Amino acid sequence: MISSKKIIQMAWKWQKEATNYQRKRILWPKTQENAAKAEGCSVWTKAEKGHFVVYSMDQKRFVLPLQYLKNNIFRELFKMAEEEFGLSSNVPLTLPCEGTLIEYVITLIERNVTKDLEEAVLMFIPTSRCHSSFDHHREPTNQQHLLCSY
Amino acid sequence: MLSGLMNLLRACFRPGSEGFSRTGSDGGGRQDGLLWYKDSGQHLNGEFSMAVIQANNLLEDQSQIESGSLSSNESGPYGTFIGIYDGHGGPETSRFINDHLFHHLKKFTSEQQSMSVDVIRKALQATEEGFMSVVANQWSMSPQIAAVGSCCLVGVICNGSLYIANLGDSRAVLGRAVRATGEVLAMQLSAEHNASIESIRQELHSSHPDDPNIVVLKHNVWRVRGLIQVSKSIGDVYLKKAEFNREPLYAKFRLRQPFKMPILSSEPSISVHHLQPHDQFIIFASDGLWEHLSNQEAVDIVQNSPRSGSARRLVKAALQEAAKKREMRYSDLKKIDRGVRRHFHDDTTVVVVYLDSNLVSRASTAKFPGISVRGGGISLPHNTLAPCTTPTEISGT
Repeated sequence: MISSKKIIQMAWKWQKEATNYQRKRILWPKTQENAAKAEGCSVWTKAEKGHFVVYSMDQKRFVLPLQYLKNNIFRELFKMAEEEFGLSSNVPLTLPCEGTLIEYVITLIERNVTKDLEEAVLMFIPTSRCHSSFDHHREPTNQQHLLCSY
Repeated sequence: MLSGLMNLLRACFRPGSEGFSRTGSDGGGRQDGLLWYKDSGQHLNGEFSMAVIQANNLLEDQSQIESGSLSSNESGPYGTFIGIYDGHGGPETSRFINDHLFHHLKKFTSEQQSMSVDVIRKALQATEEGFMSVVANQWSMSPQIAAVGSCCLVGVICNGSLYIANLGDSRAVLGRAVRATGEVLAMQLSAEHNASIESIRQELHSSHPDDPNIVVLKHNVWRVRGLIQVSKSIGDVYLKKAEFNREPLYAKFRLRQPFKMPILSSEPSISVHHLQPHDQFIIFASDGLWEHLSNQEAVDIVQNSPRSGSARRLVKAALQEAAKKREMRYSDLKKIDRGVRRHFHDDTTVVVVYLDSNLVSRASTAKFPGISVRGGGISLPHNTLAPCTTPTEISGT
């Protein structure tokens, strides 16, 4: 059963997704719901050439260009992920923040933010993480769980 | 002595085709981005192949193969020594082991005039004590050294016996041919000390009966005191001596209650195996390999491919698997810079040691020039000498 709250949340996500698509780039994340539907809940889609995949705490799947790995904001998010979850190559690579924050960071990178703004965001990220609805129980336990979570 | 000098000179003046070398008399390997490899070399008991892939900003895996005399004097016993040191928290401990363990082993072998479990245990103990003194000396200036440690896997082939000593979660796997079928089966030779293994958790609970939090499940990973996955190591002094578990060490490493007995052990698991004619090869590797390949998968890869380059092939197979788990292409994974690369796979070291049964049985008396090779990486320690920049070393030989 899906709660009404969840439906509202999803609607909001879809709306946002539509807006993002209009921004013409491929950067909008393919959510896991999509992946699960498309792949019959069993097979992973490999990221296209030159891309890597990360997940948010609310289990959104982001397919991002490799250059993002050089970005300071993403590097900070990776560092936080290491502190939060440790380093394991056997579980999905999850950043310790909500999808909306990752979306925001993507927009900033797309707009080619200045160094000053980047620094401001770097200072903001740890605080935002502390106030986000961080919940241990929602941490992905295995791939199947991730895919079939909706 | 003279042959050693000649080998050294030969290594020094070898043309650049061998690529960047950090090794001793047998010449080095090649560096290709974050991959270092020596596809083929000869040890006293057969061939070997070696490969290292770096993921951390500073390579934390260290490794070595030493073949020839296993004692401080040239009278032997002769054999082959393999070491895989998978560091954590930094590269200091694994580098220290790489620089000291084999010397200790040779010293104790000379004293006892033979190779034994006791010699290996003493060499490991001396290395642990040596590193503890380093921590004690550096504690006031850089307290973080107390939170650096390393797994340590050692193999010694000598007089038809194979000694395996282990602390941590690196692994040695033997490929043994089954005479009837011709199949080569994987046999794990080393005991592992990782809290993910139930028997290790039980062992920790029984050795720390007053500590209900000796192992904690954190984000689906079992960790000793919620801090570390391995239960035995060299270093990690902050979990062995309470005097190094206090300020100015970072708060995240400090335990709330002082401990009386060491939380981590430095007592190795040591076993002796008598090599048989149908023992084909041994794969020594850090857990970076084993988290992606099963023992049998690794043995099959080695068995079904040419000897030269077998270690590099294993590393490639592990990286392909890591890329698959990260839902990306192997060709893209290889483009990721060291440091952030650690989120995609671990530092991984592989040494494949082939066993030529004729050489294994008559090894103790064989005249062998001796080799010494260390697994490389692109991040040199501050005190590492570039190859052959010390003419004094040559004149002093």
